[in-house]
Amino acid sequence: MESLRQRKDRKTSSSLVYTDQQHSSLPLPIELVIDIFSRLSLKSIAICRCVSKPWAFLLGRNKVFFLSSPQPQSPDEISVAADHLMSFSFDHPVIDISASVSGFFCVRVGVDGFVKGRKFTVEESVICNPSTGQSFTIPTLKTRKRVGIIRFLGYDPVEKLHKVLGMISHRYGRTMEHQVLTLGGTGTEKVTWRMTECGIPCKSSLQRQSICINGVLYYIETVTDGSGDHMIVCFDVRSEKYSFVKSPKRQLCHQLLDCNGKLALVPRGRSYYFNSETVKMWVLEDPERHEWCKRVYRLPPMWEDVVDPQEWLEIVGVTGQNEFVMSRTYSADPFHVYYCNFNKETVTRVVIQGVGAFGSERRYSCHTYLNHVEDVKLM
Amino acid sequence: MSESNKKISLISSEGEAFEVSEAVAREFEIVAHMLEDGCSGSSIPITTVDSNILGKVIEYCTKHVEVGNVEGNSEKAEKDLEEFDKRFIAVEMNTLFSLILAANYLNVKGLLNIGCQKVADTIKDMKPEEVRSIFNIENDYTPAEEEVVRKENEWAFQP
Repeated sequence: MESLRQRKDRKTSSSLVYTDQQHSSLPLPIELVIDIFSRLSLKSIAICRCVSKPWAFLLGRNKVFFLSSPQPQSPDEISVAADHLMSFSFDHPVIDISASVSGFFCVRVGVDGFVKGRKFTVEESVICNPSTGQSFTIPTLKTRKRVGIIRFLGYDPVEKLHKVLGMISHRYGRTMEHQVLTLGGTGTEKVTWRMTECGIPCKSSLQRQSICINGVLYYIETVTDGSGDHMIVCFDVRSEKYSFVKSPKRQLCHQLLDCNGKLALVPRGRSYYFNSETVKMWVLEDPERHEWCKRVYRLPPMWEDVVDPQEWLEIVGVTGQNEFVMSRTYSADPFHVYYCNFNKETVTRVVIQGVGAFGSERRYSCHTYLNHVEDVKLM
Repeated sequence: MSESNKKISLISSEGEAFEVSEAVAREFEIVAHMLEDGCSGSSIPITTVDSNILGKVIEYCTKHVEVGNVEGNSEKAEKDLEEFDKRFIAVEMNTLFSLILAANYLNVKGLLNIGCQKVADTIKDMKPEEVRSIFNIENDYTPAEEEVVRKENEWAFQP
C-alpha cells in the first residue's frame, strides 16, 4: 500500500507559460504595440482588456498553468492524462519558472518602471503552490538595492520547511547581504528576512539557476581570485551553512540536474534530436572530496525510430537507474515526453494528454518537472 | 562648401527628393549606418516612407539638430523643443501611426518615443467604447462575454 501511494505521488508536472503574442488590430508591429501598452497604468490596462478579444489577449495577465500527470508505470503505457491542477495570473510578464522544489514553484516576473523616461525592470519572485492555489510574492530584502537581487528556493526535508535564500549580486564584486526567509514560519520567524553569513568569497555567475537536492541548495558562482573560474556553492537549507565544490570545468554553461540524489551537470541549451548519438554529463560523486565523474551515454539504437524528426528535446530529469526523461520546451500537439533507459536500451514515447489542448500555433513555453509532490501546507 | 554642410538627398517612396544636411540625415540612424558603412552616394532611397511623412520626419530631425547646435540658454531651448514636440505630434491617428512606423524604420529614437507616448496618452483616460472608435477596432465580444470581462476588471472603472 505504501509503495502504491508513493508511486501515485510521483508525478510529472508540466507548467506552461503564456508567452504568445497576437494580432492587435493596431496598424503597428507587435513590438511597438507592446511598447505602447507598457506605458499604461494598471488601471488603463484593465480598461483596455475590455476593448476586444485580441487586446484582452495581449494585455492578458500573464498566466502560468500547472498540469500534473502520473508517471507512466510500464513501457507499454504510451499515453497518460494530465489534470489541470491550477493556473496563476500575474500582472507583470513572466520571465521564467526557476525551480520546482517539493511541491512549490518559484516564478520570476519582471516589473517595469520608468524613471525620467528611462525604462528599467525590477524582478520579483512569486512562490506558487499549485496544490492549494496559494501564491506569495517574496517580500523585498532588507537592503536599499533595487536591482541585482537573486532569490533561490530550497527545502529542508527534516523540518519540512521551504526557505528562500536571497542575496545581492554586483556585476563586478562579491555577492553580499545574504539573507534567509522561512516560508510558513510562525512567531518572530514569520516571513521576515534574517541575515546570514556566506563565508565563501564568491561573485555571482549571473546564472539564475539553482537546484535543491536532499536539503542542499546548489548554485553556480564565480571564484573571486580573478580567474573567472566557476564553482558550485552548496547551501544546507536546514543548518543554513555554506560549503562549496570545485567545478569539473573552469567555466560552466550547464544546467543543474538531480541524478538520483546526486548533483549532475548537463550542457545547457543542448538539444537532442532523432539523430543525436550521445548524452554527456558530469555527476558529483563525492562533494567533500570534490570528486566528479564524467558519464557518456550512448543513445539506444531504437532512439532514432522512436523520436519524432520534428522534435528537439532537452533533458528534464532522471527517474531511476540510468533512465533519463526528455521533453521539448514549448507547446505542441501532441506533447511528448520521452523516457530513455540506458540499462535496458529502451526509449518510450509518452503523450501527455491535455497539454496539446494549448495548441501548437501559439508558442507557450513548457517546463517539465519530475517527481512533483503535493504539499498542502499554507505559506 | 565645408564637410559639415554636405547635402544628402533622401528619396521618398514616390521618388521625390528631399535635400538635407548630413547632420540631419544622420539623425536617421539607418542613414547614419549607411554613411558609416561607406555608402558614398549622395542620394539615399527611403522606399517605405511617402513624401508627406518623410517631410514631417525631416522637419522633426531638422528642428532637433538646430536646437542641439544652439549654445547657451539650454533650459529655454529644451523647453522650446518640448513645445515643438507637443505640437508636432498633435496629429490625427493615421498620421501618428505612419510617423511611428517611419520612425521605427528609420530608427529615429526620439520621434519613436514621443509617438508611442502619444498613443499611450490617447488611450489613457478613455472608456473601451472610445478606444474602439478612435482606433477603429471591432468589438468582437458577445454581450455576455463583455459582461464577464467588464466584471473581471470592474475595479478599474471606478473613479
